[in-house]
Amino acid sequence: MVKIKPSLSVKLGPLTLKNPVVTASGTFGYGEEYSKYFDLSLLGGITTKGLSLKPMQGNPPPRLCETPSGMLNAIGLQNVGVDDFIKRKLPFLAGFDTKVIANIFGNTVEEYEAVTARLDRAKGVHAIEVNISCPNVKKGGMAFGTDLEATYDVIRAVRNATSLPVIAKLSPNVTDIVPFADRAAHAGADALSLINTLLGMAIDIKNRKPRIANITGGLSGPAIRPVAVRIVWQVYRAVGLPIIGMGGIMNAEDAIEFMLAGATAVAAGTASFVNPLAPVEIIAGIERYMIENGIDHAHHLIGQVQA
Amino acid sequence: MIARIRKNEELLEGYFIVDIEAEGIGLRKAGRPAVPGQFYMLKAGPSTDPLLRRPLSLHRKLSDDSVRFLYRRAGRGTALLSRLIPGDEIDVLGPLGNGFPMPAGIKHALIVGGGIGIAPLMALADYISDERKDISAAAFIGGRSREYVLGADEFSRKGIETFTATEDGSLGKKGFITHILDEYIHEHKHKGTGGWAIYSCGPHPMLISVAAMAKKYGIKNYTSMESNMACGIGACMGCVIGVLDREHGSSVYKKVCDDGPVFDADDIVW
Repeated sequence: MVKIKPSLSVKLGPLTLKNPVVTASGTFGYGEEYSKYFDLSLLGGITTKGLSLKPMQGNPPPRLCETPSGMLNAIGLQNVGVDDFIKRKLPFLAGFDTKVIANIFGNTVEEYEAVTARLDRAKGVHAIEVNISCPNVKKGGMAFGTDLEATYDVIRAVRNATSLPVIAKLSPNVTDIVPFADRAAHAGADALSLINTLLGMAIDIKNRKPRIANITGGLSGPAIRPVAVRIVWQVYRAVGLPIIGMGGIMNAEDAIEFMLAGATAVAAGTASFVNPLAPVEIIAGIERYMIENGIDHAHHLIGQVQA
Repeated sequence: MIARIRKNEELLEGYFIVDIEAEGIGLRKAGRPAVPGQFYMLKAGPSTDPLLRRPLSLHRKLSDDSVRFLYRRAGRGTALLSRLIPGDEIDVLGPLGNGFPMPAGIKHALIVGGGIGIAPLMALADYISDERKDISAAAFIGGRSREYVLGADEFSRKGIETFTATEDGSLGKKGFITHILDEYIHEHKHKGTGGWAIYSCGPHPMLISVAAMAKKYGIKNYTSMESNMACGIGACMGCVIGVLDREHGSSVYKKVCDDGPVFDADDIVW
């Protein structure tokens, strides 16, 4: 058999990625930090830190702590705001040959709509990822993502405010995620990001205080991977939208597991904190796996778990 | 980068020095040396538990290819590190962060450290005594008891006038090192403190007290801060502290990893 270079390109609905690996929102800043470590053009896509209508200060420290094979964070969506992003951060990202996925959130449906409208007009944004699943802010975020009608309303509003592909990032902090995925699909989402962090808590038994100031935070890292794989598989079987799978992906083996469960693309998140080169190592590892297993196209991995 | 352990020794119960080697580990971009006050993110072993790297500040630059850290075994990450032996590999990112500023006009550096806080200050003392003959220095080192006053002998050997204090009086004056610092400044201030700067690192209450004293005497105070970090390179926003934004008269969150770890103490929202 002649070994040819496999095609890593995947299609997330209308959005084509040169390879299935993107960065998870909130773990890659606006790209600048990691550009010192590798060529961002190697990535399938870059998902930005969440953007709001106005800049946000975020939560008081301490904001994070380590937990078994994971970490809890309550950053609180600190960000520069959509206007500053477009003016100061986007031109830098636009210089790379990769897809820029702008992650957005708001306190109201109208804010989601307004942020989307601004990004829709900006040059260099390729898709909107709608965060309705942040566990660390009082309003907005998860409050939308754990209510079926609010999920529909937000995604619908964003859908109507842009012609860019719309990706709904859903919360795992619900009993059954499938109806939420279904509502997002009906509202016009082109793809789903699964999953955001799991709500968690850790206590310092010496001083009897919560380890992070927000008391509760979002759990990420390898500790949540089986939960994320299960959710991707459930949604893949039940809902027809392409999925960006994420949750504790540290290497190519983990990424392939998500694709077999039904993910079209995968996101490296916490992995980038530990190893800035994780996303590019995952791309190389997926390609190696495809060559070794005679898989000529990344699409042929999606949902191929023999269950 | 992958570095190798050359030496990893327990100085006293729970306190270690580790020397690691890798090509260019003591250098920043463009071949310039790492700056005192900068730090590295270390990971001992590929396990996901513990998951994150541990930040350690540069204790001594031994050569362009070798650096030393002083660390306390505080949790599982540093416990793993403490078990590495010469020849073992360790995954290292760095040098990172800004380092201690040394603006033009500084003539006299007051180095104030408590306990393990001496770690980055030794690199500063090395720099001043090796490369800045134009700057004089005095050191103020505190600890719980005699054995926890780290590095005082080394400071003296460099010809830096060194004062010590312990909580139990087993070495130097009994009490807090900040009292000695206060006496020292009080005694010398008639000769003028223009061109003086205080460099501090140590327990939070000590830093607060030093910052207040610096303000009282009108002396610049640069302090190296600590925080839980995930990435160490400015991406996660997890390690922030409150810092005064003088332009807008409000406080903002700044990242200890890449806005710091050294801050003007007068800007910190203690």
